[in-house]
Amino acid sequence: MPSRRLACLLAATLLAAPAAAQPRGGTAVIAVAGDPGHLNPAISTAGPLHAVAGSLFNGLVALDEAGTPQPDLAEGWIVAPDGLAVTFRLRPGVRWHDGRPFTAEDVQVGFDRLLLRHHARARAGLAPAIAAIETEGPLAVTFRLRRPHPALLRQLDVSEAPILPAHLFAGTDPVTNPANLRPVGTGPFRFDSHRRDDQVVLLRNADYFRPGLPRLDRLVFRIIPDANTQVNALLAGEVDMLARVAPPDAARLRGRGVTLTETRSAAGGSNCVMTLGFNLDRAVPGNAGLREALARGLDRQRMLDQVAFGQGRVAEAPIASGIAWAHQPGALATWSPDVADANRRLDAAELPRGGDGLRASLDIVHFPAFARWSEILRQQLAPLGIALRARMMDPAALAQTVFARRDFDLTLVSYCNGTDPEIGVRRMVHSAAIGNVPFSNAAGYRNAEVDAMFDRAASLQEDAARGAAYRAAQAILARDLPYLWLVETDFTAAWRDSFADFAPWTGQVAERAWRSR
Amino acid sequence: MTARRLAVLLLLAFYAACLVFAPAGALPAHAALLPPSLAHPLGTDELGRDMLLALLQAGRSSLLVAGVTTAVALVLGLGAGVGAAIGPPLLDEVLMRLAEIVASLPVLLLAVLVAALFGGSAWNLALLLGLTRWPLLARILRAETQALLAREYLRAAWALGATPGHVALRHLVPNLAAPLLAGAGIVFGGAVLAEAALAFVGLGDPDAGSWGRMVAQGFAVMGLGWWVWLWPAAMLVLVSGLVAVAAAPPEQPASTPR
Repeated sequence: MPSRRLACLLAATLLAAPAAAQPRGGTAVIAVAGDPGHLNPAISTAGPLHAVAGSLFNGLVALDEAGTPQPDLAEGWIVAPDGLAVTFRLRPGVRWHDGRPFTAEDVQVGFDRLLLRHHARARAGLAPAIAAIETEGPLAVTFRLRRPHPALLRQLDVSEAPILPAHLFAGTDPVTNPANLRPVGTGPFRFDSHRRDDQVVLLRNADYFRPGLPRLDRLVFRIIPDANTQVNALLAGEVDMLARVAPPDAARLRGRGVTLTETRSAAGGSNCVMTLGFNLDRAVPGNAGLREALARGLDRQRMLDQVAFGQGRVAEAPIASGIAWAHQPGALATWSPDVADANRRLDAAELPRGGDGLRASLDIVHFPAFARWSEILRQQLAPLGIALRARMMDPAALAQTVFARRDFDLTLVSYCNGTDPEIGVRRMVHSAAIGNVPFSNAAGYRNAEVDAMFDRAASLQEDAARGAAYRAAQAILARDLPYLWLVETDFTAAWRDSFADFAPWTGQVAERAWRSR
Repeated sequence: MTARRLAVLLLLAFYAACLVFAPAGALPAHAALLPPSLAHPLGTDELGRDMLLALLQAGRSSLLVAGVTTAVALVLGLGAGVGAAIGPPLLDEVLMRLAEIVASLPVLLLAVLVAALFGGSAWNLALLLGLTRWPLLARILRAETQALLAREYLRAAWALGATPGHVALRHLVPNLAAPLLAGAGIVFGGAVLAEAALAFVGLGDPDAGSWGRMVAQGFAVMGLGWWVWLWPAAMLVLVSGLVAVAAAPPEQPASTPR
């Protein structure tokens, strides 16, 4: 049937490897930076909550290390030829931790009542695309879409769309539901206890649908807010695993009985690019000559070495290299560092040096955590005659300042591209994404051509055809420079050498982990 | 030479060095995390900045913050303390209750508020510290003034028809110099530490150098170089120690009759 194209992906890899070789049993202690509060991952995107809840729940799909969708609660799926419907075949025989069977109703209620209303990323990224979710018998569910949404599958894992039990949530107010504090999931571990600001304990789910998994008997999430204390606890053996380690700490842990794993994704973010955004509504940052001069004047390799401590790569293109099918290698290659050329461009852009040698003084808005990035920018911009005034603020204040009031010259934002440009790149360049939505189009960039290319890429199904559209858009972005893509930052996880097979790129971090002694 | 004079000289010499040798603007980049050597006597930090120049730069902004704080607190404290002592009882009551209210304000929370509303510049921080540190001086000066007013020579001055202005300027201020200096030293040293503490938790002026921020940044790379956090921490200990010694009341000869 050449006129009818069926994309059908079936259960393949995850069940294949038998789990017999690795030893079973033991406890792993994992540090988290804050108390999760409650444990309902469908109504919150808080980091500490998801760090714990990822082991209690499943998504319809799981994402492997490359960000490719794999079967999880869904055994397989079929995308309609027009791209406007996706039908999931659900895994039979899955039971909730309280013994009730998992069915299509759980998926329908979970999306309609919880995820699309209360989960910030699902609400922003999925809700506009989904017209309806219909059950077709107990083990099939169809997503009807308003427009083709090729990123859908990559937005259905345990972090983006965890599935919760309908029998506990249907007809209730999800915010006050007691099951938020005594969660019931389908995941590899079940809830045992939670002592506020101390620890959350999970126990092995003996009925887990993947036979032989999990291998650990117990997971303890210990709440340790301070990063230095976390590292010391790991070195002292009080903690076995840190899901995220700051770059200088990783340098300090190297070779001290600790396995360090660098990934491009972590629960809640992947393919993150440290990005300098220009407020195009203002005269000086709106001056193309200034932006080109900055592109030539900044030494991004040095930023990678000294600020990210080598963990990542210099950004080569507006779309991160982790999304290989959409990335345009070398798109930013023309902007190699050359301070003399940068100064020439600034002269040509009518930004002459004043009596004190200064051409311009710009403010730069960012989170306090990015202080070192703004310090190195300050250092590298000084020879160009550009002074920076740093304005550090917390996420809520930054969202107000940058995206609502547009009161800034420059801003430093870590834009996580996600596993599809639809998830994390469209929002920063499409003119429809300008306005009061946090971490949308900070630059205020408007280019009808780029809009059309992103719209076209979103309407196509095949990665190859979509990639061509994205690559054409990147050539324009690299010329217009509404942003300066600095460094692709990797995540580093660390665990003691006596453990293996943690999966720090997903929320379900310990499904396969095991302890050797 | 007494320890006090030595401390004053060292402080003056250090701050003069800060004002003369610290470059303005961003420090140039050398190789990162170089240990102390001839080229960089105190090493370089993780962004390749010379630690000695960074310390001097931070010393200059520390002097600015502590100096402005002390000046503001001195003016307010002197006015409130002397005013409360020689003014009518109602003024005394109002000023001292006001001093208690101000002294009870949580400076850290106020600094967060000021940084959010007006920006976290060094000037704002200095004004905030000055406006919240004067009660200490006011209390000391009020007590000293009251003790002076009870002296016989001042009673004689009043009896001879001296005006309050004459009494304040000719008799009170010269005799208040020693407690004033001690109090100013406490405020100055406290301001150095307060500025460092605020910068350590990220509430300082991001555009000015700060020992507190250098310590915080040094902690983040603690395992990679001891010199990054040790020097600024040592500067804080040294400067606040020297200030305490310099501002201590002069030793009185053992024979001074009491």
